[in-house]
Amino acid sequence: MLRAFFALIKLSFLEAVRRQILHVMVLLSLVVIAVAGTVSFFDLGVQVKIVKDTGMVMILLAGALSVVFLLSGALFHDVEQRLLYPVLARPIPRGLYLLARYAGALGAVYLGMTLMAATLLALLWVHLHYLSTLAIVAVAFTYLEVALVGALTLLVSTFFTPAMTATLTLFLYLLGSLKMGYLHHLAERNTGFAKWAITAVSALLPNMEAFRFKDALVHDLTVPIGYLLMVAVYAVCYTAMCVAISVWRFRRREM
Amino acid sequence: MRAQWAIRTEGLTKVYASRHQTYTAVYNLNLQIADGETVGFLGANGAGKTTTIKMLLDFIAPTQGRAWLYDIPCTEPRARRQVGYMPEQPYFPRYLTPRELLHAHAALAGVPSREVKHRVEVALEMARADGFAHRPIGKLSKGMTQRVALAQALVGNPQLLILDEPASGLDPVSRVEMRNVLQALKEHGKTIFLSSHHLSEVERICDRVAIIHQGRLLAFGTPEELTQQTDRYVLVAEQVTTDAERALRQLCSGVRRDGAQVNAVTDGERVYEAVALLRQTGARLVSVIQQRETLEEAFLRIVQQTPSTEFTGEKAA
Ligand SMILES: Nc1ncnc2c1ncn2[C@@H]1O[C@H](COP(=O)(O)OP(=O)(O)OP(=O)(O)O)[C@@H](O)[C@H]1O
Ligand SMILES: [Mg+2]
Repeated sequence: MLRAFFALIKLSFLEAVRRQILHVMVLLSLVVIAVAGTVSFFDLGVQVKIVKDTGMVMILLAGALSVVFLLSGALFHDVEQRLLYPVLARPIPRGLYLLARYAGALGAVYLGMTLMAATLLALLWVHLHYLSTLAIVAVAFTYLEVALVGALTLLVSTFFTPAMTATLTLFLYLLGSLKMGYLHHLAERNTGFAKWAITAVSALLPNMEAFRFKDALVHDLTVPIGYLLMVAVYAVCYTAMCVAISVWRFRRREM
Repeated sequence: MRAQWAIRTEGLTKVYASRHQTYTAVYNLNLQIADGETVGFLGANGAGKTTTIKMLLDFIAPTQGRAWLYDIPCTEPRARRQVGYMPEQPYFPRYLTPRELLHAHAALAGVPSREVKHRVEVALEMARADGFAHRPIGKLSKGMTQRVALAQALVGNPQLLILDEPASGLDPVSRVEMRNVLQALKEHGKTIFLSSHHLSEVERICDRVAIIHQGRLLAFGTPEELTQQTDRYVLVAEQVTTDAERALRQLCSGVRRDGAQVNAVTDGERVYEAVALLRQTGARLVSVIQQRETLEEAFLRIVQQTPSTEFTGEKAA
């Protein structure tokens, strides 16, 4: 079973690393990070801040967008192009297929993100001659964030067509990023059912703000370890929940 | 000990429901296919062959009824451990080569690691796909892809082969090759369940034939059981004079001179007259044979005898 799982992950990974969207995203981000790191600014402090800021934004943006575009059409095309039949005729549960599809695509995105992260960390090293733990932690949490976005995409894709899935996921992602500031405010100002509904929606939305350690990194703030742990657990649980519901949906699907 | 039935279905029914309509694609199908049997699944376009196969492989859930593969309910993944499946119009990732594809499928089928390489090469060779095993599948012709699909089905050395129109898209030579492969598998005691429109192919290799029409099983038996004697007699005679041949044409159709012999076809009513005529004119009668229906004729007869019962229903509001 484990070998079957890895074989499926490999197929999904091979498919994903061939996708143009991933190549474009990664190349573009690498160029932006490299430019931010090499063009001289007035002083080193400013330069380092700019490198950190641009680097983190680019890694997150490229990672999240790639994972949304790769996974929003994955299942749809597997079914539509009949690629799924020979695989599902094998003695493997459908859930395993879905899991592998997710893991393979995520792996491809992580590969791209690792290239960007390595570039960023190398530039910081060049400028500062040391690497802060926070820089590594901040990068690690973008990985978690992208995993969560991928799982959300997968879940949405069990309901909608690829274009709809990509749009809706990005919309939810945006809402999730506004969550704390905006939705809380909105809930406070409403009463009765409206308040209840807004609270429920904001509880269901992924809290994307929790992952943003960019500002802490740029301004050299410290982040308590307990908080980091909490965010990590939250990411894992939310991701697992999305994948679990996707599996449940996918198992009942007529092929 | 292996189960008695490789495939068993009980009242298997599939109703496709869209918003306004329901369509019964398969209705109350009862099949029992023994281990080691080769069974042809015949039906016109849209008869419900693929739908049945999809239910056997748990791609779709039956609306009613149940099915088992080797006594394991089809809904369980382990029911497919013994299965090699070839889809109708197969598609595979275009960038993979057949060899890479088969390596992946060997792992999916649970072939032990140390046997994978060997199994892949055996399957490629059996399906005659070894000649292009290193080219990307996207660059292969339809018939080549079909062979890759067969190799893919064979790679796990399955006891039960479920093949959905394996000969479609193949040229006559490849079709014969495909038949020879199936024949060899059959001799190795494999169970083969294949859907097809090529009735003469099916007739040659199948132990039994199931005829499905508008979702219903109309007949299930050996080709001998399904075909009947016809009212057609073939006469072969020698030393037939041109006058006699002309007279024969009045009684028979398809009179044809074939070297020293003359062949003629006639019905039961006129066969005695024709024989008498040949005697009188001094010809030598070589043989008179009553013809049997071909499977194709039997198929058409059985299907045409059945009143249309197409099930399209308005959905209850
Ligand atoms: N997903 C679906 N939704 C609605 N109807 C369907 C669906 N799939 C198949 N059908 C209908 O079910 C009937 C049987 O289809 P099926 O594919 O089983 O036929 P078949 O015997 O395999 O035909 P062919 O020889 O053309 O492959 C057809 O009338 C088809 O239109
Ligand atoms: Mg079909």
